[in-house]
Amino acid sequence: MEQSNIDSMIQAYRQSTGETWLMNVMKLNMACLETLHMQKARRELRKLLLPKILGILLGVAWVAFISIITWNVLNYAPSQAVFFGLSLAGILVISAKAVIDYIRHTVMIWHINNSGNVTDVQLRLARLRLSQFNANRTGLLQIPFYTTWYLYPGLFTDKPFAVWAIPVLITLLFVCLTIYVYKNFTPANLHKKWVKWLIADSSWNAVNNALQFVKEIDDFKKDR
Amino acid sequence: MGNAFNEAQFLELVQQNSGILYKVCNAYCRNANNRQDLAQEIIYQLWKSAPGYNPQQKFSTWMYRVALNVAISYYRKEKQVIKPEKVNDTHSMAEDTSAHEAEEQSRQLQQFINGLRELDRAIMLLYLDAKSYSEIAIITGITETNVATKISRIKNILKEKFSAIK
Repeated sequence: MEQSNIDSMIQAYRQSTGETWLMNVMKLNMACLETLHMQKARRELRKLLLPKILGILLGVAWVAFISIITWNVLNYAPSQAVFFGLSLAGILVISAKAVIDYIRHTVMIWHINNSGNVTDVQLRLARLRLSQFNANRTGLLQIPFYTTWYLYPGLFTDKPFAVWAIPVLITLLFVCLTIYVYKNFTPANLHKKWVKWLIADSSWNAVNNALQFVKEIDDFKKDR
Repeated sequence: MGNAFNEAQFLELVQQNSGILYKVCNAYCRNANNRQDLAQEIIYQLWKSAPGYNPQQKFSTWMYRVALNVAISYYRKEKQVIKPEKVNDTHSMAEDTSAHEAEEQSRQLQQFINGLRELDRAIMLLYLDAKSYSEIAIITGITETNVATKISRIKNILKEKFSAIK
């Protein structure tokens, strides 16, 4: 195709700037737009935000519940229930961090500034979506603490080696497994079957899309 | 809200630059109902972002930034896979009148743009709106050299595509 044809095509495109649908939108004043936006926000709240808010509320309730038990155990029976108390404290710290990260990222996505340049804003949005995945991933670290809560000091002093060796081995096994899963349960390993198996289809698609987009933007920004 | 303009001034500026809305919505949304929705969302986000607008900056540059960011996010959120419609290769353009030909070419160009990836689409939209390379660089956040390289590459693809259907 001749260069002149391409140029005339571009010229024709530049002149086409009006359509009825846009005129309809432009006729709306700000009050109407605010109303329409509120209606849309309500629909979105029901459809998209409600599950997120519910998840956050459950997370906060869980952290509050664990806090109360931990505080009571460590205050009223610190020596007898030391393992139970420390296990709960471990679960509490990790759960609280995951919940706080999740809330922070959700709020940051909600309030992103669209006035920035396109690649920066889109990159920030995509990375924030990946951070949400990482926040959920932090939650995995609490798994070994579920294998220590039933231990007690007397088990190591009063019981034979075979009796306490088994729970200790189980805990070690879970520690190794958790470290492995935590290190490998990353967006970069999304293609692996076991990673896909661990997360729901919808979450997998969202994280995978964000990951692909980050790669695409990084590539786009390179001078070549 | 410490906006740089009041509601009437804002709407007038948006009205003056409505071509941006038209092009961005057309490029990122094929369904007419969704296009209205997207246009409303862009206007609303422009109004929300208005306190951060620097009057020393061109209104159209700022409007493009917000519009493209909202449109790309909207496009990705709604998972609208806009596949380029197959250009009708049995249609003989030579038979048409010149006005119809221009219209047809404009339509084909729109289809081609819709088939580009989100960021390339943004570059092409800005180029087609006769924005300078430096302005495109400011809006997209890449260097001017990179803008020039990408435009040249996209134009080559465009040339190849249209040569293939002739």
